[in-house]
Order: sequence, then structure tokens, then C-alpha cells
Amino acid sequence: MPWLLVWLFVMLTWLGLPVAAAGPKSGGHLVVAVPIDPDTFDPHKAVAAATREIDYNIYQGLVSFDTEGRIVPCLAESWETSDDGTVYTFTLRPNVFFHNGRSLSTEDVLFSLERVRDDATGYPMMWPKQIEEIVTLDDSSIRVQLKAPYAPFLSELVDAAIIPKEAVAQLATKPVGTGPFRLVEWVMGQHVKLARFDDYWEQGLPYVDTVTFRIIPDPATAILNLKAGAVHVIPRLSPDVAWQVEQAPDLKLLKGPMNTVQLMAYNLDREPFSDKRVRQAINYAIDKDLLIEGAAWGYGTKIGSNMSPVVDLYYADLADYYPYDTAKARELLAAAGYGQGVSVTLSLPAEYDLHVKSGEMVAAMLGEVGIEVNIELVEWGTWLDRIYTKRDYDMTIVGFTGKLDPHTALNRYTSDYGRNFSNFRHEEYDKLILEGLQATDIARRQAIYSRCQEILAEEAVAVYIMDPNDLVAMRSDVAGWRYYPKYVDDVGHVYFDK
Amino acid sequence: MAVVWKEKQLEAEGRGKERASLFQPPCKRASRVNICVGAVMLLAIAALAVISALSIVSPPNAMDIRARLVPPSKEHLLGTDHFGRDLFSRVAYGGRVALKVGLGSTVMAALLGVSLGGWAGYRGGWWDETIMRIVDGLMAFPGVLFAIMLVTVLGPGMKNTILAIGFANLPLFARITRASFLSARNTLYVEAARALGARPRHIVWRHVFPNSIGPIVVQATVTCSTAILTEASLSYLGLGIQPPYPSWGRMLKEAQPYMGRAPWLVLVPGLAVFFTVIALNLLGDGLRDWLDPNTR
Repeated sequence: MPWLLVWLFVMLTWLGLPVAAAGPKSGGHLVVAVPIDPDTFDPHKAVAAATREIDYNIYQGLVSFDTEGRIVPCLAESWETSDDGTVYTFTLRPNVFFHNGRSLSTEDVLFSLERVRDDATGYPMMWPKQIEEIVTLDDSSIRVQLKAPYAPFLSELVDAAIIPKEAVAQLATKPVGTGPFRLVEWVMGQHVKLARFDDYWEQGLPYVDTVTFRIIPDPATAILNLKAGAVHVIPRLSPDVAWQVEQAPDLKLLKGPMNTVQLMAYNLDREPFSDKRVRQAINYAIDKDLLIEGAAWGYGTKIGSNMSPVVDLYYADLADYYPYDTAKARELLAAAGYGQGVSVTLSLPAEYDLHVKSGEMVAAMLGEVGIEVNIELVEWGTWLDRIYTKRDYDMTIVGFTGKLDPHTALNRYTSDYGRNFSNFRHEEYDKLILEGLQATDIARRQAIYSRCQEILAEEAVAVYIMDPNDLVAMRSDVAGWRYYPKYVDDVGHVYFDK
Repeated sequence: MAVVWKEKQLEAEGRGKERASLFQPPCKRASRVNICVGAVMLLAIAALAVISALSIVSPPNAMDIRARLVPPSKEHLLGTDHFGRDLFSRVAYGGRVALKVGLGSTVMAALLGVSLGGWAGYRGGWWDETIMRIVDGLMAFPGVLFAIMLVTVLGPGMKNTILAIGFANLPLFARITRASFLSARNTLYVEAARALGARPRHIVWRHVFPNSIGPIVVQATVTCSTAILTEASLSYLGLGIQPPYPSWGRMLKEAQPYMGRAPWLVLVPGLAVFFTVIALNLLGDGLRDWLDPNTR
């Protein structure tokens, strides 16, 4: 009986707490564990996802995205689009300050967008080529004229950080942005320290006083630090160590989609993958559910084409297009003339444990239908160079991350796209992608991109495996973590709920 | 360990304990015990490796996701790993890999190193200078680092691992052979042979080489054990044996995230490496004492 009372008491206080502590609290020092250093803090030159995950808190663009991936106002308070989809007019938000104290003007926007457009800058994306000209209209509005309608323009613009002209020379190590945090210190291989920016334009944000991103490459070490309280959050935790978090009483594990497409791509210019029947056979031979369970401990969502279910406006559910059926796989292989078996090489990026594990399972599954798979581990640098750029490979497993717009996600399979490393060539597909760019009507775009996803599935361009779960481990007193369909760590909304 | 064995042996023979003091030079009997123990342990590991090639154990790469991280039981003698693969089969197969790499790279290092060192030692002069300076250069690299470098250049896999480790160990053999050839060259029996008109080839094969074989054999056992350790390190780093094939180093790496949950995953390959290296070191120790003229 007394135990029951104690239990009741505990339950009541536990249930009552969130009500009592209404609203986030300010203050505190947050420590986040990340595996690698940023490459540079110059937002127009950075290519590493590891940079974007941190500098999201320092830099901002004219527009941003919300947790659903919708485009929302940021430094631009509002914007208008011309009917033909080629002219965008942005109105700047008043009273926005840079970390150096100066207020934001249209000149800064002009300078930043021109810098992104300039070939000498080395901006890693191609979309700025679509811009015809940029004109400042008055103190608060600026007009961007495109060469042709380009539907994904706004979702590409989210990454174009607005920077002050005077800080550009030292931007790589001394970033100056408009975000909720400013950089205090970056010690390579150790930590990146941020402090709250007091003149930040969004009322009440950020909550914590400082944020330290500690560079901890080994997940086991990160977990030990989390358990000891030296680290508060581990974003993108490896599913291998998730059990440790689930078992610890003062830790919690959040699960969300990652908006990553994990796929096994093959080189369509090589035998036997040039034969559609072989590609389909491989799709039938792989039990995706078992693979997700085995390689990711069940933390993943099955997919069937090159899009994650997170992009729900455009997602076509093709996850069961090729149900697991080894008999059918053997039949197709025999029809293609590989009834006696065939030997192929599967190159896996060694640094990505999930892809290596998935590869081991794929090898076992394909072995059952007579495809002998030789695994080769390659370093990430080699992967990018030999496989992604030079297209010298048979099969590989990789993940394509965070695309907000269906065009950006699907454009990579057009015949003349520089990174079409599958060597997929399909007339209808190319035409559809081009059409999608011009279409401004959502229903039309939906129809176009559904068909594109269907073509990819039908042609079995790759084995689309899963969108792995984004696991975030944190101390139980940390609250306010937000999931976005992009690779960022939003520490601006995080607070301590003690 | 050696001393304990020796003491037991001496006691069994009813001899005084004082004779087996630590300060006494090792005697032949103790070295024989070391050799026996080392050889028996090695044979056991070799037997394990042979078993893994037979079909009586389940294949090392057969997965069963539903039976993952199962503790040791009747079906799985040593438990299963994160893919539900039988740990016994994997450790046995890993033994095969370890022995192949250990012996392969040692034989390679010995053949090349002995030829180079022997040539340098016997010919002397600028041959000696050139060869030994190159060998010195190679020696400047730490063995494991050198192997890592070579594997990075050659690419991973069993053959390249053997090549890399063999090459990294070559300088040791060259050095030792050269030293023994140098000292043998000036001995009376070589002089006598030369005086009798023996050809250099005859002198080297019949007189110099047999008298230099001792240190080379000892070096070979030691190299074999370090080669196995190096292979484990390389595979741990993902540079050695490629998945899904098991190697002890790779198994250790794969087990790391589950250490607290399935300790047998770390213990089993760890102990396997430990026993093999101990066995080889005992053998090497014993052989050295046995072949050393000072203890004869």
C-alpha cells in the first residue's frame, strides 16, 4: 500500500511537471557531440554537411525551411513571385543585425547573392547560374530575375547565407552572420564554441547562453560522455549504440526521419547491370525489411524510389514495388542469361558503418540467388573520386541527404547531369524533369515527380533501401530539439527543462 | 611462465629447486618445454583452422538476424554476433586467416630478406653498402605504419595484406642474415673450404648458411607472431581482410559497439589473438635457447 502511494505520487508529479514548467527556460550551457570538424566557416565555400549542421546557427538566408520542409520567411519578411515564375521580389525584415553590430541592408543581400553567383567564389551548387540579374529596388526590397522559370529556386535559396561585405576576408575562421549564435572559438579537432547573440531578431531566442560542439569521432566515447553528463546531445547517433541510450535512466532517444535516401546504385554502363532484368532480379532478391532490421536495428523506413517519405507533398509510395521474391529473381536472372551465376564487386564507403553493414547483408542475400558479391571497402575520398566522379565501379551503397525540392532530389538521374553516376539515360525522364522546372502549379509538379519516381522504380535504376532514422540521444533534461528534413542541428530552440 | 614450467619439470625429476633459480642461464630442458608448449598451442589453433574448412561447422558468413547477439549455447558454442553469425565458425575461420597471413608474410619476408642480407653479407663492398642503406631506410619506418602505407597503396585484401606485412618485416631478416654471414665469412672453416678450392656457391650453401640458420629461424617465429598482430591491427582499421570474411582484428572492431551487451564478441577473438601470439613467442623463445651455442 505505501508503495502504491509512492508510485501514485511519482506518477502525478511526473505528469504534472510539464504543466508546471510552461514554456522554455533561458540560460545554461549546452554541449553537443559531433564526429568531425567543419571544413570552413565561409558559407559560400563549405561543402561538408558537418559544416552546415553547425553554421545553420550562425548564418541565415533570405528564406528558410520549417520542420516540415516548407519554405518560410527568414531575413526576407515576405516575397512575391511573378506569374511566369521568373521574377522574385523580396522585402527585407527590419532591425536585423549582424554579429559585428551593423544592421542588415539590401546591399549585403546584393553582395552575398553576387558572390554566390561569381564563378571565382567556388559555390558548390549549380543553381545560381539560373539568375539573370539582381537589382536593389529601395532600402528594403530587392529583385531577383531568373533566366527561365526555376521552380526549386526558393528551396535552393535557403543555403545562400547573407554575409556582411566587410567580414568576407576572414570569414573562413571568423564567421559573421545574422543567426542566433556567434562563434567564440574554434579549436580544430577539439571544439567549436558558440555564444548567444543578444541582438538576434527573433524574439526570445535563443534559450541557452552558450553551445559547445565537441568533436568526438568515436560514438562509444560520445555515449560515455553523454552518460557522464559532459555532453548533452548526440545528433545522428549510430543505431549500433542506441541500445545503450535506451537502457540508461537519465537519457532519452528521439527518433525521426532523416530525409536521406539510402540506395544501392549500380553502373548501368557495365555488364550485367545494363540488363534491366538483372537489376530487377537484384531488387527482388533483397529483403529490405530484414536489411533494415539487420543493418540499422530496425531504425529506418523502407523506400522504393529516390525520395524520402518526409517530402510528403511529392512522395510516391513505391516501397513494395519489388516484394522479396527469390524465385522471381532467379527466373529473371536465368532469362537474362545469368542462370549459372555471375560475380560482381560491391564497393562500400568504409567510414559509413550503416552502408558497410547493409553491404554485408546484400552480399549474403544476393549470394542466395547466385550472384557472387565481392566486397571492397573504399575510403570516402576514393569513393568520391573513383566512384562518384569517374564512375569506375560495379555497385555501391550510399546515402543521398536532405533535399527539400523534388527537382533537386531527382535531377541527378538526367542523362547529362554531371553526377549521374548510375549512367541512367531515359528520354521521358529527362523531358519530365525539364517540364517540372517550368511548372509552377503544385498539382502539375506532383504528377510530374510521381511519374519520375515511378520510372526510377520501374527501370530498377538502383535498389532504394531506406530512409534511416535520425536518432538523437540526449540527457533527459534537454528539451526543444527540432527535426528538419535537412542536415542541421538547430540549437536555437533547445533549452534545459530542469 | 617459462620458469614455472622449468621448476615443475625439475621438481618432478626430484632435483633441487636451487638449480632452477632465475639467475641461472636457461638450460636446454626449459627451452624444450617452451618449444613443446608453443607447438601444442599452435597445433590446436591450426586444428581449429582446419576444422573451419570442413563442413561440420556452419559457414562463417551465414546470417540469421533473428538470432543475433545470442550468448554461448548448445547451438552456438561461443554465441553469435550482430548479424547472428556463429562466433565459433568465425573465430576458426579467423584462425585460418591469421595463420595464412602470419606464415605467408613470414615466408615472404624471410626469403627476400635472407637473400638480400646474405648477398650483402657475403659479397661485402658496395653491394653491402647499397643493400644495407636501403634496408636501413626501410627500417626507419615503424612496421605497422609501413604496412598501413603499403596496404593503402596496394588496396586491401588478403594477398596485399600478406605482401605489405612481408615487405615491412623484410629488413629484419636482411639485417640478421647479413650479420651472421659476416661473422661466418671470417671463420676458419670457411677459410679452409676456400683454401680447398670450394666455389662461393658451395661455401654459402654448405658452410655459411647452415651455420646462420639459427637466428633466422628464431626471427621467423617472432615475425610470424608480430605479423598476426599487424594483420589484426590492419583489419581492425578496415585495411586488412575485407568483410564479410572474418579476421580477428575485424571481429574486434565489429564487436566494439556491443561490448557491454555481448562481451563474448570481444573476448573470443581477443583471446584467440593472445593465445596465438603467446604460442609463437614461446616457440621462438624455446628455439632461441635451444639453438643458441652458449646454452649448448
